[in-house]
Amino acid sequence: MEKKFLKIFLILGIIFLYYLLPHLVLAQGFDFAVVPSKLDFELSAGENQSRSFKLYNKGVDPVTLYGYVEDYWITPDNDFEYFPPGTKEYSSAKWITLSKEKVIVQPGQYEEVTVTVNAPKNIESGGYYAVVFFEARGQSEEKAAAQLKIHGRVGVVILTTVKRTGLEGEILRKGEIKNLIVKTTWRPFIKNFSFDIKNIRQSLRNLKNIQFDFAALFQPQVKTTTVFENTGNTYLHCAGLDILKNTLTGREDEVKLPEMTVLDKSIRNFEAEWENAPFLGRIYLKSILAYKVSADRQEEKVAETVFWIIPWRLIILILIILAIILYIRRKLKKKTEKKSICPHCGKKYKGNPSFCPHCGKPLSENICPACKNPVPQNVKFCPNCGQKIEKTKQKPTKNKAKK
Amino acid sequence: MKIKNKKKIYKKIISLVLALSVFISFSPVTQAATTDSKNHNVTFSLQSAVQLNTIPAVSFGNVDPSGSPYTSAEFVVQLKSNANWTLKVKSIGPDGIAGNADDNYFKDNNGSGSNTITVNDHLEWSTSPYSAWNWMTTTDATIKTGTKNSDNNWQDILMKYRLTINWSDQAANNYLGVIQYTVTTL
Repeated sequence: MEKKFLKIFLILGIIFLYYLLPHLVLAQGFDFAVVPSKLDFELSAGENQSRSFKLYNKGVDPVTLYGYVEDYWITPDNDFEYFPPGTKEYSSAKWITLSKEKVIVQPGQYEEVTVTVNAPKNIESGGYYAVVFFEARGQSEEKAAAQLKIHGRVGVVILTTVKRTGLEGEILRKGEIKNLIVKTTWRPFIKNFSFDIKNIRQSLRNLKNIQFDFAALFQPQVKTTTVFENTGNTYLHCAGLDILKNTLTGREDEVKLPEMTVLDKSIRNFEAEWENAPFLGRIYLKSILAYKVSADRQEEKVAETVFWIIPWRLIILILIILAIILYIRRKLKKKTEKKSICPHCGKKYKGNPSFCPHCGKPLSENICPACKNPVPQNVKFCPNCGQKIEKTKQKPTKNKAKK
Repeated sequence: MKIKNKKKIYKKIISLVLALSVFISFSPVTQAATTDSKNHNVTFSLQSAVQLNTIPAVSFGNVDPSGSPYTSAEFVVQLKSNANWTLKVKSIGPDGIAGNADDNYFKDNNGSGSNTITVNDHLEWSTSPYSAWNWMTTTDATIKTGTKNSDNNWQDILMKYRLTINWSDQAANNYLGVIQYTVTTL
């Protein structure tokens, strides 16, 4: 009987945990998606056009999304800046209306919001821009003494090209590569070591932790920046690639450049990293950027440069090692080289000369039987005439001279 | 003799019929006659999309100057995008609307009180245990710029906050501030 109650109690407990616990946990975060994240409009002055977004709720709770429009700008380094609507000269924020400014999306569902661009009649031809935000505002039932609520918003860039009929109605889609920059860097090959002059003891202790990453000596990091300027009067969607050829080995690699939109009268940097770059080479770099001029025609811009990849650190390391070897060899040679003393003047001399460099007297009693010149000790042949020298017993001169 | 010849003839006829049937069945003419092939064009437009997932609030609980600073638990802001993206953060004030005079403040009584604490010298953010702390301001600061997804998994951005409370800060209940994450595709 008791066992039965225990079983029922256990089952009820599991049901309680399964159903009740998730509701005791604080409200879930928001998880939503916006599709598409970029919209293009092309219309005439005085016209309007509409498109729709889908706002998906991928979370487990209903999410309320608030829609509104702002101006934006992109810096050359791909940094977005947002401004209140109508701040910028090229702003289209005030022409944009949303079908719903507050949308409640149920979990697993989506809602559509229509965005309409109403281009005014008396505007110049060209590109006009704005960003539509959909913002989820975090709610928490917890009354904490200090807390931060979190809002998350996703921006949808609205790119509009307005064409005005008449002479001034031309849309110019053009741009050029202003610069091609290559930066070669090398990873540090000494790791886990820091030197502090104020704490030399600790620095010396740190020597134990030193690690050498020798692979870093052979793996340069090559970063290219293609600086593109939009010189037209509307935005350009650009894509491209870098072709890198090592002229020493003939190896050729292609690196894709990021696809980006360049607003008119602005500059953007297309950055790419060449993975597996060689550690040595003369590199020919060709950077190609393409953008659409019309529906069926695209234009390509090309920039070229040549640069060297030289493993300076490896060369310096080898030179340092060679210098150390030479220094040690020289030291050893100096140590082994005995200094001798002239039996006539008592001064020291180096090497094995025939005459004393200080007094000019012969340092050896050996005389060549052929040319009659003094011959240094322990030689087999006369250095003057080449006559074979017979070994004779003689008085050693080294280190025995006395004044 | 005649029977033998007849048998040979029958054999030849049968083998000829067999050979012909094999030839016909495998010949291209037969195949062309029986195969009906059509090409189907498969077309679609792939739209750019962004998905954002984050927690709704960060709680520091009860705080006081003697225990300051308080570091929040780490949490993850998650992103999925099929285009290059940038993630930014800024303080927008307890009313949750950017561009107002109170953007730089925590306010007591869940954001409706009169006691305030400035955000830009009390709240810091960091993206990993090893990166530096950055003061939260009312202008967008870039947390990270990323590339499009390489698979279907989330791109995780680890975040944490640090709150510094001074002795000069007015004691009051339920201070609230609001921060805003912004994701835009490049």
